[in-house]
Amino acid sequence: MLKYYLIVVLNLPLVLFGILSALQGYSRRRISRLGLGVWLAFWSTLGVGLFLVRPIYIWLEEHNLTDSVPLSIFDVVEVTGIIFALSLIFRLYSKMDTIEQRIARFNSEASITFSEHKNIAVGTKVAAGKPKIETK
Amino acid sequence: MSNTRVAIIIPAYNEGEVLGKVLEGLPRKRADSSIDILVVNDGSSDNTSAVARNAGVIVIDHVINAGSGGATSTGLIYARRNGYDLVITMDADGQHTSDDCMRIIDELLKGKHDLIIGSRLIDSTGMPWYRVLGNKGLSFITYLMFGLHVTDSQSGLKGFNRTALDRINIKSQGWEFCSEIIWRAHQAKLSVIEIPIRAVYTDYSLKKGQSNWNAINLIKSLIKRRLIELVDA
Repeated sequence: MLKYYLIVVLNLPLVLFGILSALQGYSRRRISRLGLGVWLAFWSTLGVGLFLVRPIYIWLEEHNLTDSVPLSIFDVVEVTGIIFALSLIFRLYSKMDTIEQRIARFNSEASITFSEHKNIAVGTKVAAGKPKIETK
Repeated sequence: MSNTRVAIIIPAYNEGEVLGKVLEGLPRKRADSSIDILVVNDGSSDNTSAVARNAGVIVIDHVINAGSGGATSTGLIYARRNGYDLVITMDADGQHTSDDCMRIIDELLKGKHDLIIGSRLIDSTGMPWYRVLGNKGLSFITYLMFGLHVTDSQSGLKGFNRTALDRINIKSQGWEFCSEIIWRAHQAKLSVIEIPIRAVYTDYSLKKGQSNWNAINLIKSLIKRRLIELVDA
């Protein structure tokens, strides 16, 4: 019985952190309403799943649908590890994408600046006419 | 629209062999508009940059190789910053004709549409069958993922008016940027049309273009982009 509590106690903070991150992302307009829905559904399913581990096991056993042993400490560690790894993967992936975007933007900006100087220096054609305006 | 400023953006990677001829064939002026040609040299290891400079066009040399999407994005940033009214993007391998380029400018000057795509598949005569198949498949996948149907989602010949230029910011660095442009246009509720174009296939352009196997990477990248924007825009 203790192991079923343990799996909830260890993983609930991760689930709550995931839900709070999603809400914070939405409030800061970093994720869309649809994105918020996806994250909330994902973490809620995981959270509800944690509380239902024992009832599900009992139900499966009663109906002869499983012959596996009850939850072990190893299972607890494994499930916790998977949930932790999942949350890390999502965060790393999105951070990596942000960095990739910044590098790409930097490459564009630096290339334009260097090339404009070079074009003037070597007498290559440069854009003429209207003032430089950046409209978002 | 009178005295319209048009930029023709040509992303180029190791295209020194054919770029000179492509640039030679492009007009520099029209009665109703001035045209600047901008070559974005995407970190080529050949003489692409020198060929473009000798042709008297604007050249942006990428500091690092970014991919065709990254080079196109740099061109769009440059055009936006320098206040161009219309932008055309085209391939450097010589598969697009100057006439089709002019037709897209004509269409943009009518002011009815924001984004014009030159479609090779409205009349695919002369296009290798495996290319037709691959492009149709990618257009269908683009439709499934982004909800806007076009016949040729991978066409490099596109025209943007100022609204499209301001509202389409591409994030993809690779070939998937073509589908992303369609997605962004759909998101920004821009008016998009396709006009038929004729693609000129040579041994060179067939060798340089995307193979159908690249489509797998392209689809993977599109799925990745879609998911990232879903969970972390």
